[in-house]
Amino acid sequence: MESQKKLVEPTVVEYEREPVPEQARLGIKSFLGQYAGEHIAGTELMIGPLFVVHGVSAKDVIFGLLVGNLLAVLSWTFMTAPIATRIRLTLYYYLEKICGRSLVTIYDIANGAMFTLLAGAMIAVSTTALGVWLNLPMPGLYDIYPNSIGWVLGVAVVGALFSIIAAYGYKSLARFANIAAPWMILIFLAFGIIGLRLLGMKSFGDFWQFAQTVVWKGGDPLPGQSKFTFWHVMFFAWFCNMAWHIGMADLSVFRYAKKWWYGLASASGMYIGHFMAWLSAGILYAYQLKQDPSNIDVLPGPLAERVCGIAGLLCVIIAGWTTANPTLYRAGLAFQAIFPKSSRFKVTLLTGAIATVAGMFPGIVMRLLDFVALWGMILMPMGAVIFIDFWIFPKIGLRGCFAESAGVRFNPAPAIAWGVTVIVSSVFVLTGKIEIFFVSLPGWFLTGLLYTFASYVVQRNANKLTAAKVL
Amino acid sequence: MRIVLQIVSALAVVGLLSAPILFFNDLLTRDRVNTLLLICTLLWFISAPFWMERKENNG
Repeated sequence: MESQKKLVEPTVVEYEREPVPEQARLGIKSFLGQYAGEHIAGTELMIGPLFVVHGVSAKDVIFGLLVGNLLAVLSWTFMTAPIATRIRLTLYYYLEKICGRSLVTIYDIANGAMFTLLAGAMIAVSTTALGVWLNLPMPGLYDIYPNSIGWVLGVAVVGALFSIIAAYGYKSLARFANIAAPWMILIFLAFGIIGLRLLGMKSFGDFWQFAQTVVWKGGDPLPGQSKFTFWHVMFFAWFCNMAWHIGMADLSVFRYAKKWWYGLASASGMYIGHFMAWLSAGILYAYQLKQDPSNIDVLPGPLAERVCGIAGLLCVIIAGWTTANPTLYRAGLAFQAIFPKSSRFKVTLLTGAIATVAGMFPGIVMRLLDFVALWGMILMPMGAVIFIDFWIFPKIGLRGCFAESAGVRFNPAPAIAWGVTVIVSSVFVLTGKIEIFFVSLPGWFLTGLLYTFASYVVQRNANKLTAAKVL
Repeated sequence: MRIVLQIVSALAVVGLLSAPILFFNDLLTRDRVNTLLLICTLLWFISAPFWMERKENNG
């Protein structure tokens, strides 16, 4: 999952509406470190156990993650980074050139809303660690609404602290996040190694057999949960950061890359955070089930404390905190773009308040897999629009960056492509024809076709109007 | 001073890496491994901030 982006924040301000100059470009080491750090988040401790909840087998989870993460890395490398290193603009500014200011505002609202809900999930994750110390009543796997005053108060306190700190000292905490990242990686590794020993494994050579028979046993999922196969895991791993790679949000990151192939640096995040950390978190959950098969709750605090003690609890709190901080900040930035005269301080506090309320609803964090897939589905179409606009339009005689060249604030072509794709995808998901984890792949092609066709019509009409004016 | 802090951080990393492996091989008890992880955590956070961020500020 997404967390701090140490490269972006200071520099976005400098090059918000101009290409990144050569002297500001960065080497691959910066990207390796950034991706390794930013994909170790508190939410990893939810995702790993949820795979076990969905009854995934060892073969499916391990090969699904290997392939899915590879596809994610290739998406960053061959879709995001090549465009980013050619245009060297932020996503928002480039979208403005294609879609016009008004449509980008709608995108901002969608993006800000998703970031706010994700921050809510991170606040909830950290509260589960606080709950161990304070003995708070905590939500169960099937809870959707707040189920106790203690939980609501706990989330309120944690959310208020996170929000105030994000509003006052975003940059200080971003620095702290960079320092904590290597430590968190090692603690996640410790979760896995210690967890395996506690489960009874005595030699690393036994891992495969142990994984199949003790940790990811396959079979039926828990009641009320869908059965996960290789394809579910693969698509989830590929698309959980879809908004960033195929959705092109990381144009803002890779515009600083000296070379397009620095997209490969994303492998550090995928194989540490979305492979090792998810597997480790799954092992923690398997240990909980071994101790008490009736305890199916997915609560990162107790899971971590059971295996690594206070260091584990600190990891849950810090992982949630350091990742909620930039998430709240980014949500605030998205909303601030809509109301440019509002202060960042107030917007961040307000966003934090909404995230805190969202965090009180366990449904968001307990259904995190679906939420992350939904995020990809909603924001992915704009990535398809950028891809088609940049690579295909010049080859078929259509104008790229139409809003800028035509001087319009609203380009209907991407709006139609985006809106229709989201509606069609939602209908397929809600009627049960396609699961949410798979719908974004056909959705990407649908957006591409719709955007091309709609742009052809819009640009032909605009050309006719221009010709009529000339005559 | 910087080199001392870096050595402390390196020791913390070695501790965080080796404690789980020692436990896995039954060379540390459960309580000891948790204590060692906590000590190494503290060592990391009291040493790393004083050298890790300097490089970024220069950049």
